[in-house]
Amino acid sequence: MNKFFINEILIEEFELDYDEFYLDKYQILKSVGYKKDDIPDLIQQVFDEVLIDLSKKVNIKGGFKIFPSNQISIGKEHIIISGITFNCGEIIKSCLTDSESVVLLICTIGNQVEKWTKSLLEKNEPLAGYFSDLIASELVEMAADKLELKLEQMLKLYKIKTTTRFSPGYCGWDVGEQQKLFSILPKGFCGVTLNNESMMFPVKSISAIIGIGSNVSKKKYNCSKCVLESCLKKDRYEKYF
Amino acid sequence: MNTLLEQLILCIEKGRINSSSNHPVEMVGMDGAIELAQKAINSGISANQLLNDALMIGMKNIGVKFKENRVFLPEVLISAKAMKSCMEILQPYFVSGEIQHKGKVLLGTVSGDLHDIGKNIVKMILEGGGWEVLDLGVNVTPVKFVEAVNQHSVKIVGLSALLTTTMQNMGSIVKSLKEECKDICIIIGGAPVTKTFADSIFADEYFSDPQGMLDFINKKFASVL
Repeated sequence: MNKFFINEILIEEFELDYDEFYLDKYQILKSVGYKKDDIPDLIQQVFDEVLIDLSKKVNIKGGFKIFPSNQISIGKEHIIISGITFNCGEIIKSCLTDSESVVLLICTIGNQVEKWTKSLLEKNEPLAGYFSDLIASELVEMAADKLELKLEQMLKLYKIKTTTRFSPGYCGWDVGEQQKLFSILPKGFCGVTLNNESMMFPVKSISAIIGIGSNVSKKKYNCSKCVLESCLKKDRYEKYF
Repeated sequence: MNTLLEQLILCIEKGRINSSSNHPVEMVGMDGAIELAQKAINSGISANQLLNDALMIGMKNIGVKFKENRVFLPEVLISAKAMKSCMEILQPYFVSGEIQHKGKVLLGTVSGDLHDIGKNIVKMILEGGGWEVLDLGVNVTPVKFVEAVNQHSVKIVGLSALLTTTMQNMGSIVKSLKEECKDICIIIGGAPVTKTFADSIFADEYFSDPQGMLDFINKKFASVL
């Protein structure tokens, strides 16, 4: 792997422009159950209105921290990053095995959308509130995708590849491990904080780990091996792809 | 059946709130739920008949369609909004005791968890279904749940959690409620929650959507319908 990534910690933080994102109304409504040609007019109208208003309330930020190889140890049972032992579970560990280092990633769309969603529900606008929450969830996932792409493009220059992205709470990784993950990131990184129950603030935020190295590759989420009966990520990937 | 009530059923089912609404297209220019409910009251139809023979039927119809996958949650929410608008007209009758809710349901997001959007949507669907909902908010401890159940003589409690960490707190809340409150029915829900988990903590029921919970409590507990 390139010498730079062997010896140095690299921290990058970005502000992402809402206009960089294309929220596909039909794909999002498909996740609710609708077929493209069968969506009632009012549903589409409320969705469109929410999308316009929501665009004025997001503040998309993201960043990542690349750890040098000498701070990483990937064993059979766990992964050690900067002296902190992570128990990511079998599925994630098997995907990270060939990594020479790891990247921790954070992104958020800010807290204004959540406040707005609550106010919509209080004002007897349940559909608008529901859509606001639904679109916000999709937007923060897209922001994480965009950030992952930025990382890939940056590492490509050094012929370094990336693994699939994994988040605490999914693929058998206990969400309580958020505490460890945040402990090795700069305090308040990208404006995201954590409470004692491992809940991120703003709520519409994502944290994740990505393995990097010369011989790693992206693999499909191994949902068939996962014990989670109900999984937001699984739902998203199954419904979209 | 009275034509006004028939029209009102349709308005609730379709989510047509008032005459100025452009939804649904085939009813543009016609009265909506608010006007029809007011006209019904003015024409001497009792609040009880209005509630049970029109509003509840409209909500029941949309619930059946949801269960059969003929409509999806957004359409149920449109109906719930129309229903809630009519419930405001009926509010004085609830206060006077002329009409009653089907019963009381206590809702809360469990200790440690501050997510409340899912819970609030459940609340709207249950209120739309004719239930009085006492919302304890977020980060609710076992002690607070027990106190509220005893204070309000509630028999149905709904617990919500969105994280696998906070979901674990449901166990201690269920345990406290079962120990401290007689004949309590505890229903749990939230993104990471499953039937298997509900069984493991001895919760009575789990539902993946608010309509499922409404159908269940209507069948098992409703005292009015």
